[in-house]
Amino acid sequence: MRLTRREALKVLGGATVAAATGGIAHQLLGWAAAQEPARALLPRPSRRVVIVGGGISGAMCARTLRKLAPEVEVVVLERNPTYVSGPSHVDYVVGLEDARKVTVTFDALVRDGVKVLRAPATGLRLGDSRVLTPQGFVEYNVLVVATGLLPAENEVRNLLENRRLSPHAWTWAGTVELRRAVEAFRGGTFVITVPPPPYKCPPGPYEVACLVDEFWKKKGVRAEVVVLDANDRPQPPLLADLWRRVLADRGIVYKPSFKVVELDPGTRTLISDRGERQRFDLASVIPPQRAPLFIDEAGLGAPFVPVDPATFRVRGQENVYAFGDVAASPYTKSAFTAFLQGRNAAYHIARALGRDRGDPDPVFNQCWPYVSSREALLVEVAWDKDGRAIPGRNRTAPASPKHVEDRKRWEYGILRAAYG
Amino acid sequence: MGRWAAVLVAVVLNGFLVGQMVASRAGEPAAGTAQVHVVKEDTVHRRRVQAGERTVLEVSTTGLVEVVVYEHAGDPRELAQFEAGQVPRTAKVFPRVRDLSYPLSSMSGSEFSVRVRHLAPGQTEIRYHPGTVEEAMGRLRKGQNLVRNQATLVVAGRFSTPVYQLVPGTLLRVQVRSGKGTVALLKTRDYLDVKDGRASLSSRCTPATCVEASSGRTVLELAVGDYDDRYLVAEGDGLVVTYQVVATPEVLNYISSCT
Repeated sequence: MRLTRREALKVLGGATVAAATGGIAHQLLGWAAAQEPARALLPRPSRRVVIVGGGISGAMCARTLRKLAPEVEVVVLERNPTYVSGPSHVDYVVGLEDARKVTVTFDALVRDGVKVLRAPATGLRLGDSRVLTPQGFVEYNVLVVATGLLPAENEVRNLLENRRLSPHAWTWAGTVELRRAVEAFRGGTFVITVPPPPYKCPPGPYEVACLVDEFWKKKGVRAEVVVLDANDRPQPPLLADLWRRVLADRGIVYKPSFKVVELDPGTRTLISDRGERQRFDLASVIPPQRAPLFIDEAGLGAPFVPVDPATFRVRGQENVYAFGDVAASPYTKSAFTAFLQGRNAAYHIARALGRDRGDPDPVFNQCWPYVSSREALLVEVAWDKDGRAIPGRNRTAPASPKHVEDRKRWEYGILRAAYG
Repeated sequence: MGRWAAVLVAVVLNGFLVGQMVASRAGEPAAGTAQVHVVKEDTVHRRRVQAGERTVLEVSTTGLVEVVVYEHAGDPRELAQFEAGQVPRTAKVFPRVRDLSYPLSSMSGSEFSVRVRHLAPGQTEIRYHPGTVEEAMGRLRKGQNLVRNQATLVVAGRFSTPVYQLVPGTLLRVQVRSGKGTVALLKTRDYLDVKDGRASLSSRCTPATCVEASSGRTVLELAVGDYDDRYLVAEGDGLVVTYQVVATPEVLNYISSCT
């Protein structure tokens, strides 16, 4: 299935501009925080929870909170008109998924009584209990930070200025660009890089490597696929041995401890911190990932927001919570745990607002990384209620077609649960 | 008066931080019967580490050694490189070491090779202290600190080495024991600028990240709050430097078995 520019634009909608300018927006949002909006977007609250970010964790928290504490006003601030499911980014790169099936709106949240404001958060004023947006400010009684992470392209020299040479699937706009590049590729060396942890979806880079390798082999395109890994083994560590075998079986070149710090656009070369060089015809440099700048500016922490992993309350803050990718916590940065963290945080927020609905089940993680379009691995990790890993609950399983079915069933399931 | 007060504060602070390093050394590793090997020649050991085991490797020498720790990652080319006396890209290298402590640990079981090469002749003790990951995590959960790795290095001229096992919540302590020169803890970008000659070491120094041996301040403590790599970069004559990577209980918020 080829993707036309028109289709891409249709799917992307308003999300494109915001996501495509990820790194620049990162800076702009910090700059915008200095512009104090004078107008209140909503009347002064009596019991209002403001959730910054309508991704899978923010949406799940909002809907759960409405069920647990219906008298509480829940507001979601989200800059994009739609949400594209994160796990499907890798599917989309090689045409395994129709983007329309995994693109959802916030209509179900609105039907549940959640107020969804289409506005980017540009600053936080914790002293005044305000979230700033370009249109005005919103006051809160409880603040929830669920922004996710942004790629810090500026941390790899010359990457920001040469993004077209190196699209990646860690933003939706980048995913669409990467797919176009993969479809247009006529042969040569494709290099994908793995940043140091923590980054979103630890198995993702290896999945992309396997999927594009399979895609080009089917098309008869002669391609050498190279994985440059900043880590000394494939991620997550539990899957390291399985990944090594999978990559070797496919003839994918794997170079561990290769931390890319520079892109030389003239020679199309990636350079490591040790000065090693890797030439490419098409690259996909996945940058290190950081919380949006305004969070650091508000004093909530950088590069992530430190939280109590049992309650998701931000350390040193009475009425601020954070979870999902943006939180500094022991939980894997995956859609699966983000979804459960959003749900569990809602219980703790409800309790703090006087609605004790008991304790939710602890967070756990299941992940089904693709090794081809037909087979996926399995990894499971569990934590106790205080966020301590339970080593006895770790499990991995080799590639199987059943895991692909499980993955899809799970993804459609969490989208239904969070977005209706 | 103010100057003397500043000197007094510096002396007290130095004494406190040195005391911290000595105290945390004494607390490591956990109790257990250590295997001890005393050698004068270059040596390679191969050790199997069971799932959940955390064996602390300790090396001390009257000479000067380079220690290479290589975890077998299933790549036959890397193993061949190690066996040929080279340094595989995933190996941890500790150059110009007088003493060293580094854990060989694995959650799922693994095999390690340790190579000790003498750069200056001397008698070298290699010890393996048994322990478990759970014991180490237990110390953090009890609110105690844990030394992850430490080394004493002898520096001649320009020297740099990556510092391993840094995550948010770790403390990186450096003490200049003797000699003249500068010791800095640089992030990757600054390290590359200095290494590639785009900047001098002094231009990348701040009081929070550097010590100048001649200034009277000999101890540096850096609280690591991010995931950036750090490199210990030194310039000087006869510098003897000890560094220590210490996990505080805060590390528990960042360590997961899956990331």
